[in-house]
Amino acid sequence: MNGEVLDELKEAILSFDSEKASEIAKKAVSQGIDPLKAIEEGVSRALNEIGTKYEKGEIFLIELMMAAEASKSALKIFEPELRKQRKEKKTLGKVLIGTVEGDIHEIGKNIVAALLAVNGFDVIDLGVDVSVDTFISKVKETKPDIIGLSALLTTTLPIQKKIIDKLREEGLQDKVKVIIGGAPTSPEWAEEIGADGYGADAKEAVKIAKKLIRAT
Amino acid sequence: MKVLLLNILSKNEIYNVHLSCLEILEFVGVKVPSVKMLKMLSDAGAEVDLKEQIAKIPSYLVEEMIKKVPHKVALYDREGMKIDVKPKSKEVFFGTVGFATRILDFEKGEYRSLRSEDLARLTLLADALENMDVYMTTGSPSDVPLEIVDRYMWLISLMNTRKHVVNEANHREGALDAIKMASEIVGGFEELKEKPIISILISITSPFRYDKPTFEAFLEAVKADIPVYVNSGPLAGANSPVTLAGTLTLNVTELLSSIVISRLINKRSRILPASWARTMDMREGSAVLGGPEFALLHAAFAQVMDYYNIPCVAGGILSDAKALDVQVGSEKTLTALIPVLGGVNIVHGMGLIASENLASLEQLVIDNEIAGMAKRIRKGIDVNEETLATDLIRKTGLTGGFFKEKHTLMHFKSQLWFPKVFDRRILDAWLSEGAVTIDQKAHKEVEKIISTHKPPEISKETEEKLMEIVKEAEGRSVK
Repeated sequence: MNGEVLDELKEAILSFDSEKASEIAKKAVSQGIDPLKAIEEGVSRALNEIGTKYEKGEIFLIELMMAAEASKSALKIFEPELRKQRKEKKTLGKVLIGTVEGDIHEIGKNIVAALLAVNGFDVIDLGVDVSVDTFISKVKETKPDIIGLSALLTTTLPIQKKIIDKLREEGLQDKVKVIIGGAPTSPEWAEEIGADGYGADAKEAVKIAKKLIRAT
Repeated sequence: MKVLLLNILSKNEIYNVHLSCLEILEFVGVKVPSVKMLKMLSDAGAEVDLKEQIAKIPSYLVEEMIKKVPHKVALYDREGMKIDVKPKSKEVFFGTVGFATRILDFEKGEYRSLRSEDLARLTLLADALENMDVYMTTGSPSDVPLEIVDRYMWLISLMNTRKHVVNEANHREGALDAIKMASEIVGGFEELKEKPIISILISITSPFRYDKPTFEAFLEAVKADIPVYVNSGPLAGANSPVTLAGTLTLNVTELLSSIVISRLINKRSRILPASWARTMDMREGSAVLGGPEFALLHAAFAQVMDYYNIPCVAGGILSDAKALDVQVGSEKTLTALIPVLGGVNIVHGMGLIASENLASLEQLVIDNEIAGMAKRIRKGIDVNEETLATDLIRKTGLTGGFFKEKHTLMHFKSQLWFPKVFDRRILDAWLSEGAVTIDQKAHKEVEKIISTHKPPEISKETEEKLMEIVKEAEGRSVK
């Protein structure tokens, strides 16, 4: 019977339905299903499928995003349960992501965040126009494995450098890997400012993130 | 949304073309190599010269037949699906073109003779491509007896595609054999008439002449109720006036004669006037199919046919380039788009380059993309409450977040066209995956489709019967 609810949950995510995903997640909790099992067999299985389909070009970006949203709404229900039981969900690693100060472009960053989530990363999205100080304090607070810095304007590119410099100043450079992205960035720029990785697009960003995690 | 998107000619200009056509049919006439047909034309009011085999057709007869001709022609595929070819339709169809004798062998980088197996692969690939709606037999294979090459072309086409097949018939026996083969596949002649899976293409020789074998093929196809593509391809500056208006007039005049003739033979006749009007290059003496004039001529032709309320076919998505290069892409896009915007119902030209002389599997895949773009443009922009999205915009306001809206999820597939092989990735993503160019990518797609796509199922018995028809024709030709 447990299996049935989890299959329903998977289906809700595969049909990009946030409301339904949240509803079924609540049902699973009320039935006393282990939240870890629910995440594993309901959410992760769905996201795996979505990730594969997206890689193969069978589904589109908007569908990927909506699936990620639906999974988020289910996780919102399961996470308090996990905390109650002092359990932690399995992830590939934790990624802190945001668009840098002075820049309010979010689409590229959102796509990367969604694809990372679909691929099994725990993603903390700080949003747009995120100050250097916020990035640093959030790194200290959440201890991510990777931070992702997005910049869409040539005028906000230097902020990526500022953040990396600040991480060094604070002695955090060995504790967290930095990936940069955004239209005006390039592999050369990444090297120049000492970033650990450069994601040309969302798929590349996920590849780099996986590589960096394996290396640590 | 406007139905016709491009008006090359004004209403007055269309009417002037029409009047010129009537005058030419009445005072110059057409050459009709059949005593019986000439007599029928004479009975209907034409002034006939039996010795010269010329029929001068009066305006009233032409105008009457234009009104009576079917204003919609349905073409069927093997699965019973039909394409309604009709003027003023927002739906446009694309097809391959014939009949190349050579092929560009991508792997070897060779220009070589086209063989039966190449034609089979071209047909199978065309069967799989979603924007290829009507299959005109792309190649004329060099490894079969020349006298009966048309039968092999029908055979290979019918064996490898489910889609509607158009092929040439150059004589009476060729037309009859084609009808026999198609009847075998659908289970009988009556079934074929009901849902024709083939059309027969015949060509008028410009200016204003039907040659005898072609004319006999035309008569057989019309009598049998099979849809007929009547092709007129005057060469501006050579067998037609160099002025585009003059060539258009000659082109339309020829096709009007075929409408009158077919109506006199069979009141149920289904005719698709097809224009391949082109210009001659005044330096090379070659026929130009990839130029701006070719595009203009067919958009204008479609406007005239639209005035008559008659469905029409034209050459397009063509090029004079000899390689999968920038010229091929520019010319194919130009000659696909302009005729489509003018209102041509079926544009034939996919799969061939070098002015229709060279087949390319890779180009066929690329043409599928060009056809996809042109179809999207033809659909235009729907404006209604849902698509204006005013309520949604009011709701999202200055946050501007449409990426996660249900509205986006609901409409993106119908609003946006998605390429199969055209590359839209970010520069660095493309570079990091080996900077693959479009011809290489198309080649990979060709290999993928050819190795996975299955030809239509045809019973052993039917296959043997088709082979029998071909062999019988071969026997006759040896005698």
